[in-house]
Amino acid sequence: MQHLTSTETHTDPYQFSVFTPSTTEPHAAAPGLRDWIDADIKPSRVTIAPGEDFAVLFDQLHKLQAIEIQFPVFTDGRGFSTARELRERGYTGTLQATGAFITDQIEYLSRCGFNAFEFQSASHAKVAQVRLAQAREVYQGDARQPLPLFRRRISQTRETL
Amino acid sequence: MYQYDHYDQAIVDQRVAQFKDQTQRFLRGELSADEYQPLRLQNGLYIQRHAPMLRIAVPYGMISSDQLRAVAEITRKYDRGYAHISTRQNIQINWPELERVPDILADLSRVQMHAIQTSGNCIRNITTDQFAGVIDGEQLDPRPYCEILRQWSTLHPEFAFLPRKFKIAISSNTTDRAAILAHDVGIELKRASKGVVADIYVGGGLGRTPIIGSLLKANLPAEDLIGYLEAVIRVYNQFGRRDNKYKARIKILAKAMGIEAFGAKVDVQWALKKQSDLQITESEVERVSAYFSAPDYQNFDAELPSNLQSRLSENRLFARWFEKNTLTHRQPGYRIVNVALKSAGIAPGDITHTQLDALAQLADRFSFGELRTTHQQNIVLADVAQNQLYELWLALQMHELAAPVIGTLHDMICCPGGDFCSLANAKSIPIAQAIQARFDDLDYVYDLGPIELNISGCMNACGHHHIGHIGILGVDKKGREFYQVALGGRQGREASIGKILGPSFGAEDMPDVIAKILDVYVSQRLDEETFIHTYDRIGIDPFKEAVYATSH
Repeated sequence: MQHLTSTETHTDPYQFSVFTPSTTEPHAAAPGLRDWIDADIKPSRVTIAPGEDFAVLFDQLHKLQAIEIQFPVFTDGRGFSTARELRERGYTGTLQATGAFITDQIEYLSRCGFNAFEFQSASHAKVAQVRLAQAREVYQGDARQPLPLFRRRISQTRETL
Repeated sequence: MYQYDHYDQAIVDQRVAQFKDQTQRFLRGELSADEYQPLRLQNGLYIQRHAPMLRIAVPYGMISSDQLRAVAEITRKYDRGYAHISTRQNIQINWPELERVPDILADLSRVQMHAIQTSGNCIRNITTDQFAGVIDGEQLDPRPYCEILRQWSTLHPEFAFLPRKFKIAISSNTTDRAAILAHDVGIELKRASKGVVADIYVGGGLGRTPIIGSLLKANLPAEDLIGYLEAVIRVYNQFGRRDNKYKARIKILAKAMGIEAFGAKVDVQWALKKQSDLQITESEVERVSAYFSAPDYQNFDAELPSNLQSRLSENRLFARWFEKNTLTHRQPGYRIVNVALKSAGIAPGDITHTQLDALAQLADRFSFGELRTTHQQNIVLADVAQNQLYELWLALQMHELAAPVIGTLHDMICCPGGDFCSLANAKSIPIAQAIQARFDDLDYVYDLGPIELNISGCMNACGHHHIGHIGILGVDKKGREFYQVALGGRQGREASIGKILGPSFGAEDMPDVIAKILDVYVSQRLDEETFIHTYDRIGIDPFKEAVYATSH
């Protein structure tokens, strides 16, 4: 396994695209949501699979260090919404994508609030790292740039003044 | 119409470069076919029966003369010299080579065009009234909101891998020409004392399970459109079915949950987004609206000029065209002109490169350099001065673009069908052509009055067969093509789904079947009653009896 993790916190969006690869497993797999719910002492990490009702986490988000979101197949886009909702609800810890997502999705993933990625190979991690470092113009506000373009746009007429 | 600034251009240019890279990696074998598929689909590229098909976006149907010329050039350079107007107001070319698609996208980007999200399981091209901004009955011009929502939906990070495609239509007119009740989300914009508000309809759609949309939220302030739509689509993304692609549209989810329960889930998400940076700013509405201000109209009297009146009384062909293909304009002295792409022997919606060039030139000469595509697969010149109509008509005639058939039996909506599309169960274009050929007497066609005949080659209903007064659906039975006929469907505010007449027919029987249906109408109609009103009054049984009487 190859991991790519942002060294900066989520609350610092401008440094968000600085990712550090590591070949060592940074931590053991997080418990599944079911086990987390059943545990008497709540672990600080949890894994969410698509379709699981994660509302139970909402009042615990400040206590969680890492949430892993699974992608069983890359075309299953539920994890994008799960991530963005968690960020909208104020979660600031590590949000890691695991499973079958592909490197072509890496920008969308990071824009939805993922700041850690688990890859099958070092070459994938390398490609992703390069992509994440590229600055791109976008219309929507997101985890990397909270303001939508219509709140940032400087009209060309104003620029020429 | 809207013009890109350096931000818009940068976004499209990035996408061109990204798609070029993705295509090269696919061709080198670094990206699997399964991985490449959703990426190319989100860029409008299908792998079809004979060749790839590229669908070029025409946002809410607006296209400039320069853009049309660029499309003409692309059909010459990369394709077979013609294009096809789709029922989603987009433009399709049917014969590009995969290797050259990145170059086509690069050419398009030079005229502020692209193919982003014209297919795939994402938010598709947002459509609206083809007469927006020039027709009476409008509370406001919907196009600034179409453009604001186009920008929001373009390459949205959360909604690129939805359970299925997602289609949004916007209307703001007492007559709904955008079919908002037949869309995943339909938006009706209205003026209220507190500003612009929107009624949001959800869960309409055609396809295998046709459903009319339900009202989800009334009087939503328009500045909240983005936040509210994000809430709706998030609920769909999380809960829409992913196990069966025929049950994956939002209509199935809204129906299964019930509209109230669905709305409750939306409200939970909406609470997270209210009063956030998603609120559309007044200055953005102003900025975008400025692109849709009225062109430089001249001051004319509303009455028809005398030279036009005499042309109309002297020239029967011209008079027919004027009556069928032009409409009253909001601005005195102007008319809205429909260019029917429904000539005999041509697939509905097809247009050659010379016709594209000619229309671009005519738009420059007569209609402020802008055109619109319609979901009826025609093209509109929206701002033509009445005193130039005759000249325009002569030029259209020269290019075989003056068929005076708008709103008639000849003005069929028809998907590409089995001749091109790999999803189709049956051909649809030859059926349209056979019907046109059978009813080639235009006096008879005019006498029939307004009839909407829609043809789809499969359940996916790209030809909108469910909402045609007469709907034809191609089906496959043990390898043979058959056609199911339905009657009584309609679009607009009274949208309803047609009723199936009975067992299906072979292709060769279709002109006769249509003839029998029309005979029933002609013999039973009262005074000026239209086909659909006669159907409403007498029901389906007399049609059934006439059509099946001799076939037993």
